[in-house]
Amino acid sequence: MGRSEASQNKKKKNIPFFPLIIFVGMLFTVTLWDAYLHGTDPLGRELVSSLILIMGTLFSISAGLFSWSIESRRGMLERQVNERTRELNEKNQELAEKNQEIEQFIHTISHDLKAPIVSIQGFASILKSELGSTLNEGQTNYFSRILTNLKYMNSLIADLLELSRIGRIEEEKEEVDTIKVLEGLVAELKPEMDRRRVTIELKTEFPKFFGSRKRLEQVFLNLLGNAVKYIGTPECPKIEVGCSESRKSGFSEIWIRDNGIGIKKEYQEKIFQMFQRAPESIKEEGTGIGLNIVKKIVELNGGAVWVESEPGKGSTFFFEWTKACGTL
Amino acid sequence: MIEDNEDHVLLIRQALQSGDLNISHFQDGMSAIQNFKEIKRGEDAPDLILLDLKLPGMDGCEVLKRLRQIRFLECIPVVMVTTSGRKEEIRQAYKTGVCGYVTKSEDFDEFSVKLKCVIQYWLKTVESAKLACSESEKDS
Repeated sequence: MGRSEASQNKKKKNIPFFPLIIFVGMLFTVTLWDAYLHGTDPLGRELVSSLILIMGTLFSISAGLFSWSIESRRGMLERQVNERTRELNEKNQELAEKNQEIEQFIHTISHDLKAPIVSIQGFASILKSELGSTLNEGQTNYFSRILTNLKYMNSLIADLLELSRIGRIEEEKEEVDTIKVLEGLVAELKPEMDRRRVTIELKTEFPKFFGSRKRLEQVFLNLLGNAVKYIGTPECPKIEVGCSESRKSGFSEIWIRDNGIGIKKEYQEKIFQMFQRAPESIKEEGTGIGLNIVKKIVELNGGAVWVESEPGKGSTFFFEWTKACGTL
Repeated sequence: MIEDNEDHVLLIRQALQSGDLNISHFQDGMSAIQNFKEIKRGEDAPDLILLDLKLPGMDGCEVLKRLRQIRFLECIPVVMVTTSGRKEEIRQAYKTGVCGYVTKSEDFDEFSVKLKCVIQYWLKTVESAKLACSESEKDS
């Protein structure tokens, strides 16, 4: 017999006592009340005393039964709660073990996929440098293609691993000094910014945010990195970053605006899906996972991410992020 | 060098252009530990150990812990050379006591320069420590 069936049967045994006892008690009370109210003594004094005695006994029994029933129901509920808690703990434990297994599996895959890439990369580089001036233009080009593809494969593995970790690995949440994060990232992007003559300007004040510092940095890095990468060749390449109050309570709306190549309307949603890249962006290296990572992180944090863009004029990416407590 | 991947052994040797270095190679932690346990004199201990993180049987951090318990290897610099560049693993390796951490998953020329720098730094440190030891022995 299942556990739920057993508890149903117990329920059926306990419940019918109460309406019966209450009904009998009420019947006697109404009869006596009626008799005394009309000044009559229809049943005789001795009978009345006996009835009161019976009533008292019945009430005592009913009170006892009531208390016993409550007690037994409480015990049953406690047992059920304990049982469910034990089951939940077991499930949690199982999930934690599964998660650990997945992490180990991913780790092994990552290592085993990277090891041959390192070998190919290494030997190709050695060959290229040893053959040096004897290589003709075509052969040099082949070597470059081997190395570019290996670099791409490395990025792909790294991005896929990162994507698999988001939401599965619990991240520590803390108050984050947004300006410091942005300054750090701008320093990291500096060589590429200089190469493309792009400037990044912070246009507004930024409140302190709350959440995983690592993930927030990743969102900013992917969005700013894309803005730099897809800046194209405007006369005065520039990226602006700002922040305003979100309609969602407790959130800020952050925007990253560039005057780069822009994205056609039909790709503005697609680019947030895995491996989806706008045709205009294909010239630049990329795995097509970066914006999917951004979307996953932002949505897990309770916010949304979207883009407004016009081809040839630039794009503005928006995302919502939680503000730290006490931040206006 | 404790490294299970033959290709990587070759690449590390090439990266170090190891003409003037005498490099012994072990394919796993256990065989290295067995070999080091037989060392009878401090002079026979290696000057530096290159250790892979992902090794068959016992991972690099575990190997390092065991190496530290072997006489003459308590203070030998150990440099981790591995494909994994994850922060957690780098942190764990330094906590276990490595002196340097070089990832293999980068551009080969960059890897070669980094590895040489780290190794030369520690070899020089070991050399000057040995020199200081022998001078204090002479003085006493």
